[in-house]
Amino acid sequence: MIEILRNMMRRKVRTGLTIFGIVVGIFAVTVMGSMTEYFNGLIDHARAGAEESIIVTPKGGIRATLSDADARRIERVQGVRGVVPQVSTFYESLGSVSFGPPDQVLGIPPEKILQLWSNDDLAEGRWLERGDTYQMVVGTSIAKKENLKLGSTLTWREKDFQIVGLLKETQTAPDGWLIAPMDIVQKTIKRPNLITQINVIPEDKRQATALAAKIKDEVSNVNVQTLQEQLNAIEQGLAVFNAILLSSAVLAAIIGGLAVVNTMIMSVSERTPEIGLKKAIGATNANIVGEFLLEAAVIGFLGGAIGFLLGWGMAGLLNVGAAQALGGSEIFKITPRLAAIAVGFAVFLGILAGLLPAWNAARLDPVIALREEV
Amino acid sequence: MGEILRNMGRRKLRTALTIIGIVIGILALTVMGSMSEYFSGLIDNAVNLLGNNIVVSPKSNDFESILTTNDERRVRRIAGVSDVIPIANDTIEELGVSFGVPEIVYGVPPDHSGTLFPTITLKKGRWLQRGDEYETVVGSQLAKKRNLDLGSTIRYRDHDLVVVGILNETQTTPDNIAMVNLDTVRRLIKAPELIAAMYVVPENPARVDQIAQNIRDNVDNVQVFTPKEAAAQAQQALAVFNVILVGGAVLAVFVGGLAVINTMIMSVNERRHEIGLKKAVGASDGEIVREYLTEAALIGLVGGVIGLVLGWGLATLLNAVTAQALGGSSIFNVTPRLMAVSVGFAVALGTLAGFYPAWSAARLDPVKALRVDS
Repeated sequence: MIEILRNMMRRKVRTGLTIFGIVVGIFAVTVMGSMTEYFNGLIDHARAGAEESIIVTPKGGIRATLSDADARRIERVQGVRGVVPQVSTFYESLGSVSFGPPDQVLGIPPEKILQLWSNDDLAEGRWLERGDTYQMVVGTSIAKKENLKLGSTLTWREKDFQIVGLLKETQTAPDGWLIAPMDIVQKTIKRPNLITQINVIPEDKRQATALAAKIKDEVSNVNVQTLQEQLNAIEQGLAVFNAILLSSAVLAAIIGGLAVVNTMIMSVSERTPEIGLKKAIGATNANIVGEFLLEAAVIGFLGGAIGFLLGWGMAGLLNVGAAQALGGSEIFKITPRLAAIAVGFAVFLGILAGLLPAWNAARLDPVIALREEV
Repeated sequence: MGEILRNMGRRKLRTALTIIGIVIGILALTVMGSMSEYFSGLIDNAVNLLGNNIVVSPKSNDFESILTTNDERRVRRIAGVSDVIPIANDTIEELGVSFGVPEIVYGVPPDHSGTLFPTITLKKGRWLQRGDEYETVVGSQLAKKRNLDLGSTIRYRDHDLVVVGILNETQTTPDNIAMVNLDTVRRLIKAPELIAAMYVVPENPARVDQIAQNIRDNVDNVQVFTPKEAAAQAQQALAVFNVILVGGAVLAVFVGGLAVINTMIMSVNERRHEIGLKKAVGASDGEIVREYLTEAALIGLVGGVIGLVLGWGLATLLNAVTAQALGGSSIFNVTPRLMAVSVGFAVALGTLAGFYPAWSAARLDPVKALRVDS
């Protein structure tokens, strides 16, 4: 009796260790995956809002800028309904490490704001209006970080700005934007005519790509991209990053899967007489295979589910930590899709790992199997 | 006989699976580690390159904050400063999303092109000289990538730069630069006073810290880094990236270690009879522990070595594949240090994994162990 209990304890340790292997692997997949989900989410949200706008940026190196003259030239291109020049700069000087879009101060001529945004984008307050000076409309994450409400005052570059509007949450870059009148921003950063980007509104949104090409032809020294193109380029760069993030985690899970193979082989060899008996009283090969595959799948599932839950907890913890360090951005994002992939992958690995042992078990000759161990 | 062979075959598979677990983990560790070694190498090389020069850059790294000739004059007046080399940098082409190092134009005063980075030497041609306008001295990588030789040209801001010198390889930033007369760069980017950074040459290298402090005290709006501080700063920035890169791989190896525990527990179980016998004929607990620890360490060693060799192979392969995209730079750098760490980690983990099984083997009561299995 003690012997049996001890055996069971031994098996518990073995099964426990095997499950733990999967747990660690899936934990890593979940945490790393939540980071890629965050970045993917940024792109998706940006894409959803993209419509077909065209963005003109300066051509040339890091120090290239645009001017009023460029804006006027673009405005004259046929098919352009309007242009919105902007100046953007970092809210704070960048630290050495940052994840996600940095907080930015964006200068836009107040009278042109409604060409890019609508009143639906506001959660509270109002948009900037002609005549506004040191007024700002701010995004949700920066509002949270600096504890801003309607009427609060924010000091930026030694100037006091009054908050007149709060944006709705977008889960993308605008959450970290502080929008102020363009001339005021230019004055505050002491670069009077600086324009860093021009948004072009096409007369016909469906013709955006063609219009972009036309602007490229007619206006020299500018980069013209539709927002879609820009996002595609970013997405490509992201793919490499994602691969690096995820590859080790997936490998860890695969190694966990190898341990499942080992454990199942042991289980089969321990239960040889039992299998022989089952076959002798009429169990089919499929019954035996099913039994062991199910066992392997359960190991995978348990490991996957526990690993995912721990990963979720860790992501939550890291978000709190990161929010403090990075100022409000939650860069670990658990999505239903990620949950399904993490647990699904673990179950799949378990089943895959169970195939060989299960097949071995089914292949046993009942006569030999029974004789062997008794 | 057949029985024994079959048992051995089973055990072979088990041991092999366990080793493969370690192999995959160490493979991941080697590949990811080689990438982080590459980045650390970049920093070390960059620091060597600075020699004793102090780097002065704008306080904020926004595009809008720049230094001017006024700042230069202020720095020149500081006690202990022997010379100041202002530079203006710019990208040769548009910045895309890429993992490679961007190609950068360095505007330098022509008579300082040879002293900017004191340790770089010319492979071919000459340094810039007073009176040069569209002449350029290019880094080794840039030359290789674009297939440049003396007399070749590079297109930059609608002008052809003529190559008059090619630098020796440094394994860091200067490999991808094109040095051009500072005045030319300033003119082409329409910023006549622009200074992106200054390299300050100290009169007495032993006093860099003091001089750096003097600059900090006397010039506003600048960041001042001694070579040592610059290295620390860069390393800090890299730390997060390294944790992500190597963290996943370490987890993978860890999961492999869990499988070693499992395998060793099974081995001990199988060999209880043998262990009992050994103890009965006088083997000490220490001997039993050593036997199983050695077995576990050996699994770690074999897995570690195979993993390292495979990882090295993969790194070499990846280097060959990415060389084209990155213009010949090898971003996977398998260093002796990395090799030692990888294999050492595998052995340590194996040994660690062997502790519990070895201990439980030594603890066996020889009388019971012999009785149970016979």
